[in-house]
Amino acid sequence: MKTPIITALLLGLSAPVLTLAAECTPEHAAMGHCTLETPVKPAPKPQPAAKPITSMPAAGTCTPEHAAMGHCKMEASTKPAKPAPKPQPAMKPMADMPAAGTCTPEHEAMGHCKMPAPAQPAKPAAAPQPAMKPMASMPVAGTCTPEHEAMGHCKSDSTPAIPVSDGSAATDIPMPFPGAMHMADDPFLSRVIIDRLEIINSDEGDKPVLLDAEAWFGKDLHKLWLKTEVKQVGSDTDEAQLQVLYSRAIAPYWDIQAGVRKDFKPVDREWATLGIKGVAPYFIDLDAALFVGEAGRTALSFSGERELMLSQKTALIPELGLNFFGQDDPEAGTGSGLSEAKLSLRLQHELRREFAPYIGVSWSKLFGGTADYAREAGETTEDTQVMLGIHAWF
Amino acid sequence: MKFQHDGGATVVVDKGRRRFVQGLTAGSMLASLGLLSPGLLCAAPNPEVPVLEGPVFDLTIEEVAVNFTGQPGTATAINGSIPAPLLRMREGDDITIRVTNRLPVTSSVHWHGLILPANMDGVPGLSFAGIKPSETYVYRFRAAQSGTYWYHSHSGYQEQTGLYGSIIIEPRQADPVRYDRDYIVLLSDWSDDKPETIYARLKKLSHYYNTRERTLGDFVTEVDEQGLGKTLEDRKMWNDMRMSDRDISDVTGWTYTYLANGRTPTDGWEGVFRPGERVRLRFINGSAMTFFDVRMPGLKMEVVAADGQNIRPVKGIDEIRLGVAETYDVIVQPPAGAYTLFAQAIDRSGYARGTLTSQPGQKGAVPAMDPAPILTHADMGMGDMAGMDHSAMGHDMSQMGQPRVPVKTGPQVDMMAMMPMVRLNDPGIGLRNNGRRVLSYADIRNLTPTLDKRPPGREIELHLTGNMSRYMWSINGVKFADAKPIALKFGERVRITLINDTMMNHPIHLHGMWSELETGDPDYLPRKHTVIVQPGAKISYLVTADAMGQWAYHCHLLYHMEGMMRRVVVA
Repeated sequence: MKTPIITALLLGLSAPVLTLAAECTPEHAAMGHCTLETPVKPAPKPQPAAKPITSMPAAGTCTPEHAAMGHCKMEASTKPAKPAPKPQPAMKPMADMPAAGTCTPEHEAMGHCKMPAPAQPAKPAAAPQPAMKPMASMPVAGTCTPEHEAMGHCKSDSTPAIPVSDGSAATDIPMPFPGAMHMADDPFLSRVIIDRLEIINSDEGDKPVLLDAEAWFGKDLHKLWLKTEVKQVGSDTDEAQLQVLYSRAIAPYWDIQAGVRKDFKPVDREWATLGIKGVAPYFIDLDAALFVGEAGRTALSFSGERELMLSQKTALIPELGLNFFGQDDPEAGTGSGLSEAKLSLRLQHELRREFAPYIGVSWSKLFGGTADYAREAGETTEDTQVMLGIHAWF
Repeated sequence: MKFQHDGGATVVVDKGRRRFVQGLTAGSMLASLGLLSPGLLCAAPNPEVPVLEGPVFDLTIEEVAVNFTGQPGTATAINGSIPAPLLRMREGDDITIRVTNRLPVTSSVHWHGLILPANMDGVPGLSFAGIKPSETYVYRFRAAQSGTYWYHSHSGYQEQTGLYGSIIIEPRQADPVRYDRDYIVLLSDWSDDKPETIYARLKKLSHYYNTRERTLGDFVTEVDEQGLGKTLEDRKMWNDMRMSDRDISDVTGWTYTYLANGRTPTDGWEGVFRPGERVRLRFINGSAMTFFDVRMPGLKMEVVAADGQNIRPVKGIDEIRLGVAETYDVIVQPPAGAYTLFAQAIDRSGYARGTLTSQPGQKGAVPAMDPAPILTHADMGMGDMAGMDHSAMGHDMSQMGQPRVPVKTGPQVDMMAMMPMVRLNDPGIGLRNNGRRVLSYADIRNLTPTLDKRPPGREIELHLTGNMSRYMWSINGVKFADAKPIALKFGERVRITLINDTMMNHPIHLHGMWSELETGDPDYLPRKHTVIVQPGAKISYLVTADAMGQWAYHCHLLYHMEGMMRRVVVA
């Protein structure tokens, strides 16, 4: 526990020296701490006291290790004594950090370089260096502070650069007892999700019942995915469709899903489909798919929802659904372009993780040709409904 | 330090094995102190955890009926006990342990932290083929070390269902630790749910067990406190990354009942002392998934050993975090009274409880749990540099944290720590600036000098990677099943640097060889078997590859280990 404190103290004490010797490295410049074009002013003549160690590399010298870390270019080291630039105002915030390329006490302790006797008039070389003294007895690995290491200024160990690898064997080595380990990190699983099973409040006749459900079977990256939507009014099935998809994870939050879709109602249609499903930034669940059917029919569907947690069990879920078609399909009652937009808001309460009833309100509107077909059939093109349903999975 | 010992070639000799069953618990302690009449013994609060004394042990793995929560369940026990019996050995002894499997499935026992030949390490596939139903496997090895260790199944999820116990190896020479009384405190987590169910739930809904998620109310509070602009900015990174800063433990007190020596918080474990005695407590985290933060309000702890190895005593400690599989030995010297041993789960969703008391039956006050921790930018490996734009850092491997080894990206890796930092003196999430003196790795120096003074000849960098929402875990983006083994040359000294590119703490356990943690003093590197790698942090240790054979190397969180694992081959 004391080590970091001592380190901090030392860093604090040695800060003026470090600042004087500082160089603007590309990393620092990238952080906006300084600019690379900094004019370098000639250093004051070395003090007589510095004489005995003139053979040593001076501050700012580029050692092979440093060059390897990209801190500097090796040509610098050919200069016997690199001029130390005056402290730059832009470097001020860095006062508590050693500048890259400089031989700091930490670097010296690591054997990266040798600290020169200070050439600056402000620090008489003859005087004992309080900041330097304790370094000799300091635990080496403790001197590289995390901040410095994260910047690549140093490593938290005493050894010079050693080869780094992931340690992988060049060739595979068989397990002594193959088959005995049973590491089932990726078991075959299945999940059935009744996203919504709801009854829609309606003034006229039977209340429609809507089912929107999915199921998957498979492993982490590859799944068979089923999706279905059914709308039942009384004994009539108004809408029914089923998708059978292969779902493949392609990114941390995204799966592509390809397969077939079959519409049973209102009309028989078959489609090939390619979609993307996943979670967008801000935790928005997205499902978008392109459908290509017979006779050059095309369609696009999009749905997005976001769970807004009101409490650990209660959530408000706004959802937006959009449907587009490539051309008119009078039989199906859909026109080209945007055909339907649906916006809903559900208030859902988890009785348990797997079971949550909800109440909701939904507004939907038909557009373009689809709206025209609806008007011809004497149906409304805009509707606001209240629904009661359950969300469940197992 | 190391020895080669081919246990399998030796003939089994049962030299009149001694077997003692004695309780370390209140009843027997009090009986030995003469403080209790025999009649009162029956009222002892704890059933006894059996104690077996070596060098020859007979263990039988079997299913037992248990009821920890009011709901009957089935657990996996050794000799009918959960935890399994305490095994007492003596350093230098040749140990024989006959393990009989009475389960319907293959089982195994791994001696966690013990330096022994590869074929005695108890890892099916690497050490042996496992112990098939109704078979007996004879483990034979020399107790090459002393200290506090533990053992557990290395098959399936049996560790979660009760197959864990403690080991004490008495030193041959005088113990540098002076104490009058000795207690094991073995912490664990129990669920009535089947482990397979827990794992499947995590795969289907990774936050299934998280009951501390961020709500709109939190947002409103934050807007109130720091304004809308700042709140939105703070939230931006998390929203962009699609991660939750409340994601501390994968499996929580929602399903877990936390146990101390097999006792629930309601029952509590009890240890009795005489005022003024130096009481040695050997904390072992034998849980499947839970980090514990242990303290005893009113008592300062002197930490004397870490992972079984003696360390330079660290005095005045209030609290210790035990990663899964870690052990710490502490000395307390309590005045008369009752002191609660309070072991909070890292996510504060529950606790294990015990009492150290000079008056049997007396209980100390149970403190309130700390607030649930919330992850910070530093925990996400983003440093603490204010004013930097965090928005684009999610998957972007910027130059600063560029891995020095290939890391396979793809759906299995949801983030890379951009500025992973060595945070040895960081006690970790939920313990920072809590007003208590919390042990950190920077405090730990081995009692005796580092044995192998050679500098490492090379470095192995391993990134702990995963995708939380898909619940996939890997190293360098490659899961165990797809990975090549790590090859070490026999006798070489190597540095292993671990970088945590996830938002969870991972306790990384290397079998067969010590992980000599670089805590600041190369001359006194503490020798650990399990090392916590904090989220967004990096840490390094030196390993002398002095143990021939194939060894497991993995995250000791039970539901991570099958992916976040490597085979280490020393040849």
